[in-house]
Amino acid sequence: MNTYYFITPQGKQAGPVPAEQLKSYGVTRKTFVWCEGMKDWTEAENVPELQGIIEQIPPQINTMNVPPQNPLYSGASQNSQFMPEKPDTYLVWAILTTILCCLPFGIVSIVYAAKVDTLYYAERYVEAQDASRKAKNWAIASAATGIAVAIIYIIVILAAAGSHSRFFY
Amino acid sequence: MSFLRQHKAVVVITVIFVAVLALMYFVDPGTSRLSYKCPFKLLTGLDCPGCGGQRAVHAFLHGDFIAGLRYNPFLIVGLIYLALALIAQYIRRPWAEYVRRKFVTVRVAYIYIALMIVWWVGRNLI
Repeated sequence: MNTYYFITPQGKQAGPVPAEQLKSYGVTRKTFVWCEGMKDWTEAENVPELQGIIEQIPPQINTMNVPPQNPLYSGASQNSQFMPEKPDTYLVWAILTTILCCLPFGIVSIVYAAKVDTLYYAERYVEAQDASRKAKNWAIASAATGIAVAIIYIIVILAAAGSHSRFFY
Repeated sequence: MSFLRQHKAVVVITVIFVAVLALMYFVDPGTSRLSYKCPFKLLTGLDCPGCGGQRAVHAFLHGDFIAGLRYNPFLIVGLIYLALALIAQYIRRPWAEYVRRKFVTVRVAYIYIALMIVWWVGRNLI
């Protein structure tokens, strides 16, 4: 599957994200998407490759079947359609790696966790999702570095012990 | 069983945690060559925020809480906080929810980092 760029409700370009993840970024059937090789931005429901994915997203409310709305509220209702769940901040893991390894990577992860909250409440969902992914990756990087350092340390100690015994014999 | 499958990361981390604690219980950092020497201390001669941590945890696990706090109070408090935060993350109880909402927050994380820097500088000055 290709990776797609898409247009947020705020009218900004976002992405690219793998096609399977479009749903979690709040893409709807009517969201304009584009990937390499396409001529122009196209509504997601008209992209053949996305058919399988688009069927998992609830269709938009057909205004023909809904009683006429007060035009004053129509703008608001359009905005509230796009409200994905708040992405995970992975804060516990950031705190864990910061306390156990005193590594700067854990602190980077905490900073991204903070961004998830602020971006989400500012309704910048795409960026919040991105910050969530980065918070997770930095926490993993921090833990991996801590474990790698410990392993290298053990190898050095064993090597030193080995050379010691040769020295004594 | 389904709990284990859902939270593989927790299970793995708990196992590592218990293994490391057991190691620290049996290895006496005062006498054993197995104990971990702090690279920061080797290079600079100064204490890092975690220095004295092994001795602190070793003493703490042997029931000598006062000696533990004397070696490294910051790490002991940090580890207790961490254990609470991890437990609260996976328990669906009102108190766990309260701990998560009030204490597992970005603000607390920032306070922790600030205190760590103060502790780092302070312990080398005194």
